[in-house]
Amino acid sequence: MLDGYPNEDAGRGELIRVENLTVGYGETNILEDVSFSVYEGEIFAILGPSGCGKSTLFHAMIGLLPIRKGRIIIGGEELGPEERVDSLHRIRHQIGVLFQSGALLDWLSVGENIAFPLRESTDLPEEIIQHIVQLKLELVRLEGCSEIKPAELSGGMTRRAGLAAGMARDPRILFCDEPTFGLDPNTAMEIDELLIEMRDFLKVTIVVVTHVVPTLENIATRCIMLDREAKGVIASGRLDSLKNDTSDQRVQAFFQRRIPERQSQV
Amino acid sequence: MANFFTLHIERSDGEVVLYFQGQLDRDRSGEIWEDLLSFFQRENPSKLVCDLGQVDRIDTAGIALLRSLEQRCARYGIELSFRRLPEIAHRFLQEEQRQRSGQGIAEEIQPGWITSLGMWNKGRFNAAFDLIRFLGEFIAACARVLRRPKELRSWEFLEHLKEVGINAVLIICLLNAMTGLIVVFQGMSLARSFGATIYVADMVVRSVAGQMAPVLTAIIISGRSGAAFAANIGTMKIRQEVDILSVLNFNIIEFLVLPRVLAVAVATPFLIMLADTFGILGGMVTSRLVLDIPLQSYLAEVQNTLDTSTIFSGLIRGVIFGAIIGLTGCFQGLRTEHTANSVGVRATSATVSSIILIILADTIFAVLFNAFGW
Repeated sequence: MLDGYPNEDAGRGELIRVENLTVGYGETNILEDVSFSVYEGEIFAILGPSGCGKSTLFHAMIGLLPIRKGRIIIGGEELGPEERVDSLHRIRHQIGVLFQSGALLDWLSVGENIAFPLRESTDLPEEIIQHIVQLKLELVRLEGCSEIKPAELSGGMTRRAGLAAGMARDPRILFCDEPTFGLDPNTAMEIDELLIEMRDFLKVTIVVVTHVVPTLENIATRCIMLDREAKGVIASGRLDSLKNDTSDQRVQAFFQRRIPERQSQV
Repeated sequence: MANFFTLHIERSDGEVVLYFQGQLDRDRSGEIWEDLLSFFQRENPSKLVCDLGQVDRIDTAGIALLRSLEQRCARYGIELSFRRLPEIAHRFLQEEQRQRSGQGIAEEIQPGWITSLGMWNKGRFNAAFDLIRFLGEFIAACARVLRRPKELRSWEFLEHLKEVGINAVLIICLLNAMTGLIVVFQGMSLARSFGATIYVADMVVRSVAGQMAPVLTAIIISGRSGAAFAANIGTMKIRQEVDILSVLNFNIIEFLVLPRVLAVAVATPFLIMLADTFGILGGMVTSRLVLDIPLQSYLAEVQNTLDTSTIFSGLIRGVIFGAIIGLTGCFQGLRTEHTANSVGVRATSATVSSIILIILADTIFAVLFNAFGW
């Protein structure tokens, strides 16, 4: 288990509040009446098996999916069923995102991927931007990779470069979609360490969507678990209490890697 | 926490102390940097102390500003020290950290002209070697299929023939009919001044059927099919479909390139014949409507002017133009790199280079046909 778990300093103030959120695609609601809060300085995990709506919730929180009912308040700015471009713009100014693929612009070098959002959304001079790029690359241990194109990076390096790009503007909140999915255990551990470092050094609050249990064990301060059939949260709290104290078979099945018992279909 | 930043300056015994106060972050660092630059323009201290004890918040933009300051002081020989550095800044401004990262931003090393020339040539030679290898493999694949015709991927060939040939008929007929119309309008006043309007038929045959129809048709096919070949094969390469085929022991040239090149080389001469026909028909309709030339007279004039050499030269050019379009499109597609914009670059490159090669080939044909008296 890494040093950063759990962060006892968490709980300084509510940074994200999700209230009675309903979202979905087409005619189907994927999640209904979901509510939870994320506090400043914590690493908050959204977990659950594939298809439970983790990514749907993630996309709604970063404003990529319209909200059908309820609201999301991030840093005092509200997102609801009515489209509010100014609100969304202010929210996006406070957040950074690490997508599962790393989501680097492949025609730009790694360094340019970090510099790009700074050039576009701040008035920082180029000299300072170059130093920020270097700092971010040092943070994710990719010194000397500034000129490399994303296509030339390995999976773990791409994820680290994506993390540096996501952190480029020093956001208050970093959203990570499956940050360690598909990586070998050592590389996944490195990403976990980096996320904890980001939280501790840059004081960023992190929301992670994942179904990788070792990552959860390494980094998560608190978590919620989603379920496809329930279309919402079936458990929430500290990870150890979810793992050890729950009587919910679905939660037990997730952590113990076994098929949940079902009622006989015959 | 106050949402502000101030820079307070104190001077004593040749030492200047900068007191940073408030928030040193991405929203304020640009402005502070401007203040610092004007400070350096005004004053030339030999010793500078930065006191950060009253900084409420610092982020990486703030640390980057301190690094820039450090680098500037080193460049101008100013002795710089920090007081009461925040923990995070301390970590990134430590001596060993700077040494590890190569003392700030390294000066970009500009290569000399000999190196640049060498690098440019290396890139060119690589492309040339790739092309030679591609053509060699293509010729070998053609030879194999000639020996064993059953090995030709006939289904793929017919699919591409339909796409390149049949689906292009309408646009080629329309554009060439309009070309016939344009030639009649252009030649009309000249023919009238000689009192020989019937000669517009000669003009249409000589210019449209003899020259414009083959080139125009080839350019249209290049834009439609050459670019499509490059984009199609390029996307397959990015999605690793080409790798899968290689691993399954398919010969990529026989599987992907040969059916496409054959299809376009077969379709182009037929499309050129169709283009000739519709160019002449376009001219005929326009001559009838505008110059009142009887259809029989126009057709008789066309018959006199149009000889077999014009038709055959069109057919020969069609095969060569088709091969150029197919080979260029496939070659560019196979050179696609694993980046999203590479497909677009290769498709554009396929179109542009095939048009250049078509015009170059047409020039050679013009010289050769003239030499042979065609």
